[in-house]
Amino acid sequence: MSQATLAIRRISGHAGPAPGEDVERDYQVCKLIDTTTCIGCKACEVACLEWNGYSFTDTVFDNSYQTMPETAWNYWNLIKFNEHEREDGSITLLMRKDQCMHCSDPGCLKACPADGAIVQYTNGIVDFQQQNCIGCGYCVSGCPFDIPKFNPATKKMFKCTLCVDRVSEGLEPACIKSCPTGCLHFGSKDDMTDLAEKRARQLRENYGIEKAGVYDPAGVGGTGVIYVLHDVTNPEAYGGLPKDPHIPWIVKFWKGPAKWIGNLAMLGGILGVTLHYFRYGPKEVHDEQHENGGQP
Amino acid sequence: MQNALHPGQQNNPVVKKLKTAADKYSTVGDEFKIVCTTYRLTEHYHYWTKNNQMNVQLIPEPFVEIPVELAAELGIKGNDKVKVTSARSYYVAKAFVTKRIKPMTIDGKKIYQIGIPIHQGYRGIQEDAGKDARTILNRLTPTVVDPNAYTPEFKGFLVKLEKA
Amino acid sequence: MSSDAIPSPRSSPPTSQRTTGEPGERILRYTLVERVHHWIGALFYVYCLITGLAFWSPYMFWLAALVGGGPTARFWHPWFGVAFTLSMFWMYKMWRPDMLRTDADRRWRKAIKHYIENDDQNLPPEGRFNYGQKLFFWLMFYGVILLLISGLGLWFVESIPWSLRWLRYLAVTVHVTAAMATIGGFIIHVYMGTAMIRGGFTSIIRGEVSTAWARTHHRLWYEQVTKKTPAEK
Repeated sequence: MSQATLAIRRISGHAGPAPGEDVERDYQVCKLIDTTTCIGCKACEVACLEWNGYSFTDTVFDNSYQTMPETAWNYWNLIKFNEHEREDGSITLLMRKDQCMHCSDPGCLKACPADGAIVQYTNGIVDFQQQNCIGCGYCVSGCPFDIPKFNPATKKMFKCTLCVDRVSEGLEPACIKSCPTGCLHFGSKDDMTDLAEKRARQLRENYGIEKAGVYDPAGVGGTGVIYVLHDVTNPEAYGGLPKDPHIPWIVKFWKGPAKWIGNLAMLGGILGVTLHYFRYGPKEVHDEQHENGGQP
Repeated sequence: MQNALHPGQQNNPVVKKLKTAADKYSTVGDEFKIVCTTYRLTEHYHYWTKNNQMNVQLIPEPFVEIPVELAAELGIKGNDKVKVTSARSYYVAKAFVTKRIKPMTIDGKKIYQIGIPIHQGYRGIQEDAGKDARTILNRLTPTVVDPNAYTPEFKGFLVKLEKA
Repeated sequence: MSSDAIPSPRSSPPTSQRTTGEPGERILRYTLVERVHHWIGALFYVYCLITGLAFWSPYMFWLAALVGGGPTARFWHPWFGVAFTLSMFWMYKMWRPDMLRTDADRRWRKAIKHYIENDDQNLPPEGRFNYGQKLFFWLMFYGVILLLISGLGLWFVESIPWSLRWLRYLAVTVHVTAAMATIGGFIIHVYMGTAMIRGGFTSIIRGEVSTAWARTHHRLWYEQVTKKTPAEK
């Protein structure tokens, strides 16, 4: 449940603007994940489960260190492993922490039809409000990162909350607290972007990793979770991170122009038949004994 | 590979080898041609974490890391059940076919290495549920120690690999 | 059928309720089975319409509260959609022979201006269902098939793998378009059945129409069902 002190910038399925639409907070929060110093220890996976009170699930080995193929309704972050073969034939084990990216322009929020089921706070965190969720799964179609997951028992959707409950009390998210190498950082978007750029520059200049860079996709207006990648030109190698994520244009059309067209068409239909009745009236049945057709 | 310093003597002559009935050693030229090593994973601590649901969730089953080239030679695919046998005993687990271990060329010959994490065993959450083979890795390793410091040399030994 | 052939046995009233065609008599236009199926289908469709509109627009989301609340509406919408599909298939089984295009339809269509302007005396005669009604039937029939298939893609959206996600977007597009098309047909259907054609609404509730009504709106059908009196049969 959102904290009363957090202003809300955007609300899903809401008729009219959100109360906090024009409010600018001190900063947007941001989680920086430096994949170049991640050791794939999964402390972040466990910390997230423990903080959010989820019990452990049965898993199966599948030719990888990866705990499970995708995040789940009760497993919000997951290290994705990929034994990547570079062009020169050398192998590198790429590890990336996968979770909700907290987009500035969230596709899930745009697609959601239920009033208040998805909110975006003024600090940038995108949060599902399960008490308003109707379990329709439209957010699954809206998300460019395949993150929202359905709980079939309660019929609600779940994802990483960027520990909004911790953040609103001035603490860092659970995953950041647990990271032993310090590859996870938390702070304002400006600070984290600076830090990320510094690290990427260090990798390029001091370590000869020429393609190192920061992943902060503009297609979704920038994200509340950014990565430092060894090879920012090939994000797909990091367990399927999309190269140019954006809200699918069908979703944009559906929630934008299509609404106007559809609503006008329906209104037009109703007006049309009303006007027809005013102009032409009903059909008359001409018979000496029966004026109204059905009744003798 | 011939000992460059002492061509006639391959091994340390005073190395401590235990001589119980269980201690058999392989010799050059026998069926055990693959080098095996053992190690630990970040997600588990020694043997007790196979009794802890959190660790078991992260790495649920025992596996053997096999180079892709060796797997192709033996017709092993990822997740196949495989059996690793040394002169002393055997170990059954799932195959983890990986590109991260490369074959070595030693003395002009192609030598493969496989790696096995130690954490699973006879009793535990998965073991008690009958979900793995309950074989213990340390039955594979030889009990050989340095004669002076008694430092163990358990982590390099020869095995053969086949589908189980 | 491509001629004004005799309608199939199902569309004729049962023998016990044949009429002689005397003025003042009522003719059975829809049997009990047909009426029950129509209203069952109507109920399922209207529920899907209300909940569908609630999911379509934030300005109509409050409609969900009238029909069970958000999660309940989302739960029942696909099930009632399946039920409506089955109901529509039953109506297809009942009415398909009556809904095939005939020569009478072609003539009627050319004179449709008279129908719209309520100048029915200048219209060529029609069978049990006129061209417009047939169009509506086929619109709903094909519409419900598209709605069902695309609806399954929305209902079980997570079953569509990420690599085939274009299917998810296609499902959204098809479902919305088909729904809008059926809504358009629905608006016209309700208008014509209630306000525009007096006696139309009664016919689908009580089943009967007057002979004058039958002669005016569906003369060819009227002539078929009154030709065979019990005595002649």
